[in-house]
Amino acid sequence: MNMVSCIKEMLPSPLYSFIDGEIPPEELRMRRGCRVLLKKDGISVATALICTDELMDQTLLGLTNRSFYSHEDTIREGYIPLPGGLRAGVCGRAVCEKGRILQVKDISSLILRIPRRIPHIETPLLEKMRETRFQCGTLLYSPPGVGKTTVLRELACTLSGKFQKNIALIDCRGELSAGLKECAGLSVFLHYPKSTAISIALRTMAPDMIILDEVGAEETEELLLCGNGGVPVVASVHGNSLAELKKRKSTEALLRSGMFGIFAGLTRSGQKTNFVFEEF
Amino acid sequence: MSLKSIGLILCALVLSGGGWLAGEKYKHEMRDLIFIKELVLHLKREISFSRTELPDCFLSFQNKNYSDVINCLSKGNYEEATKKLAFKNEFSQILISFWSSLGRDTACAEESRINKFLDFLEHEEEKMSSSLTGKIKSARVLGICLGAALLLLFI
Repeated sequence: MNMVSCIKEMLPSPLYSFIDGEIPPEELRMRRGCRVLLKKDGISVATALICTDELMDQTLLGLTNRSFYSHEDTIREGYIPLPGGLRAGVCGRAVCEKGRILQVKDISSLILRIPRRIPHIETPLLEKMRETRFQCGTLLYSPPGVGKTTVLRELACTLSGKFQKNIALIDCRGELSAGLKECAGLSVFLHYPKSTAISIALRTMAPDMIILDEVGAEETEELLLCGNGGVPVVASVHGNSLAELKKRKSTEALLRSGMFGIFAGLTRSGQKTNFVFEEF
Repeated sequence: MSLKSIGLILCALVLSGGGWLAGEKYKHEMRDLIFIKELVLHLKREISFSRTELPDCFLSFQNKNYSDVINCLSKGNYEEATKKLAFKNEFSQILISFWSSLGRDTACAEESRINKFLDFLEHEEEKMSSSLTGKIKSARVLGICLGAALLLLFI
């Protein structure tokens, strides 16, 4: 069963028609009392359907397989994991104690992102990496929703397939490895905490390269270990430009360590994703 | 024997049989109530301790006599499942609304909702078991007596 059929089975009937069609939307966004938004080719369009309380509750019931309680942990983290590497982002009212979220109640917004395979989207980046004989670390940056995860996914597939590299793919949300079942050279660390996965990959899987999504300050130590240990890392981070990343505390140490040699910014115009390579 | 007396005997048999079946229905209702109580207890354990998803909670409950009911519940066909049980309309509605309320909240909230429902079920069970013997007996006796009276009256 493909991903679109998976989603259709989980959603209530008023949302079926949006998922149907040759090209499914990239994103479906719902907020209680507001119109349902669909994103196609990077453009959000408001539909005629209003997200009533009943529709939101039915959608949540479907996405959690009628078991909200069994997804409490991930809902606290802001998402519901779905079969086939999909996930739905959720937010609502948090019940906190000493700055820690105990529960999230009254879910008010939901976003369903449908990952897609876009073959050859990674080609410009791959060419750049070939110039360095895959010895350089690569940092990919863009605002959310431009396609960082899609590029990393395709890159992992091509490197492990065509170039026969041993790739450790660190996928803590089950999103990065979606649809990559056919790639034999991949070692997928699914739902591992990132820093733990990096250290296990280094110690046990002898990877040629480590690929991970959305790096933060928590993984800095392990990533520096990779860089110093001679295993190049391909990582992504939210950001508009390299200048902006330099100013940010969470990424500053990584940038200054010299572990990344390629800095690729992503922009999007319509369906096309463009790479902007910058020098540090 | 005339056709009239055969008809009378048949009437008497039907009345006695009706009384007997009414008694059986009460027994059946009690059996179903015990099944529901055991199922809800099982759900409580599965939800509280292992956070198992609701369809799997239902499917992991072993009871061959109620496999069709369990199947419907696991698919979320609560009305159909309740129809297969011998409960009165009012109790069936309570049951459907309980099933429908499951899975919408956190584990703590689910547990307290289940606890409340278990209290309600226990109360119902007590009520039913205290009146069960009397109900069965009176239904059966009434049926047999009516049948016998009819027979005596016309012979």
